[in-house]
Amino acid sequence: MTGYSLKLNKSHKWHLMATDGTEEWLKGLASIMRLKESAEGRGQRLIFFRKGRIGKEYRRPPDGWGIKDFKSMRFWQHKEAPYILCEIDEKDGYELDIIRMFYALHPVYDTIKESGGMPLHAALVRYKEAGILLAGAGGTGKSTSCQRLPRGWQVLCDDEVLVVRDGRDRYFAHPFPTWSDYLWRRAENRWDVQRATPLKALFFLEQAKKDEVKPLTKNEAVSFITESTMEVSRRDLRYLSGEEQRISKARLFHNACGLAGSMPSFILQTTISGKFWVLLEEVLSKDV
Amino acid sequence: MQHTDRPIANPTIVLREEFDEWALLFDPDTAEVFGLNPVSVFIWKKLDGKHTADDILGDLKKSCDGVPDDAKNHVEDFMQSLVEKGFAGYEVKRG
Repeated sequence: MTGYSLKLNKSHKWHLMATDGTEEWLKGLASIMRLKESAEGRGQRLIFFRKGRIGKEYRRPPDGWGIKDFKSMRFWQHKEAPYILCEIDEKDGYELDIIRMFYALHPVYDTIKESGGMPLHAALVRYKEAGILLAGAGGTGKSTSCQRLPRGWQVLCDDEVLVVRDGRDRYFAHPFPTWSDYLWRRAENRWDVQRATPLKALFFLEQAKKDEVKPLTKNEAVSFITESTMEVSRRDLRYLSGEEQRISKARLFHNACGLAGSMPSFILQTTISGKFWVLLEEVLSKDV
Repeated sequence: MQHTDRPIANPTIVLREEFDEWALLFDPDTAEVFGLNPVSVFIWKKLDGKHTADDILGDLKKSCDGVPDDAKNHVEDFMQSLVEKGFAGYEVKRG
């Protein structure tokens, strides 16, 4: 059985395994996320099957399985089973394959959420080993700002970041794929999702007439962080029941409070031609 | 349909007291976040279906110094804003 390992921080590990009929699809996902093929190792096992092909040997015990239905993909989980079964419909097509890829990561997001992390609609950039997020809804200038950063700055992704909290309440940012690039433009980018960057500050983008950085209070930061995580999380949440959605959103809110309390957040107002990165460097130089 | 004058906090709303003496309310249905100052937190905790606005104002005056003369209007306005947002409601009177 073909398998790929996924590690986010030392304590979060998964082993993604393909069965007959899912090998090429999983290989595509692994390629986009730069996952390496590996023999079965430690961590939560996610086993992918085509619809109707989950063998009886995996459905043990036979009863008590919880099912999450994401239309063209379903997750089967049981508290006594050491793996999660991921059932994919037979109908193929490029767009469906890409959509299934981001839904396939639902168990990963769930685990990260349970430990205090969350996905954010943000770019991840790095300056002298420090990671900062440039967050904002579509059209606020994440991609443009990333393209304008000078030498000395490194852009790790420009759309989605998975923030992971470790056992010592430190936060690390992982670049995740811009799935829309694949859906709308059939791009061939790759993201090293396992690369962790220590997170130092959050900046929420606004277009303005003057480049400026304005600190946010902790309470204000919670509001911005919650909005950002909901922008990403909605695509999964809509397939859950009303009660499951409330529980999941409340968890994300609490995680946003944790993140806001741990590091500084700012509004970053940018102009088309200003050198906003100078303001970012000043903030980082103050040993945040 | 008549309702009581003792509002009840929506049980699905999450209260988080974290930073300084301020707090946040979170509505998991809409994902809306609402900031509360210390006085608003005090009022929110009294929304148990047993306190009228006058009761809450009385408790506020016992707990805090310098409560202004027009505080009742502020308390009522705040309670009404919570009801309008769906963060609180009133029990319907029977009979």
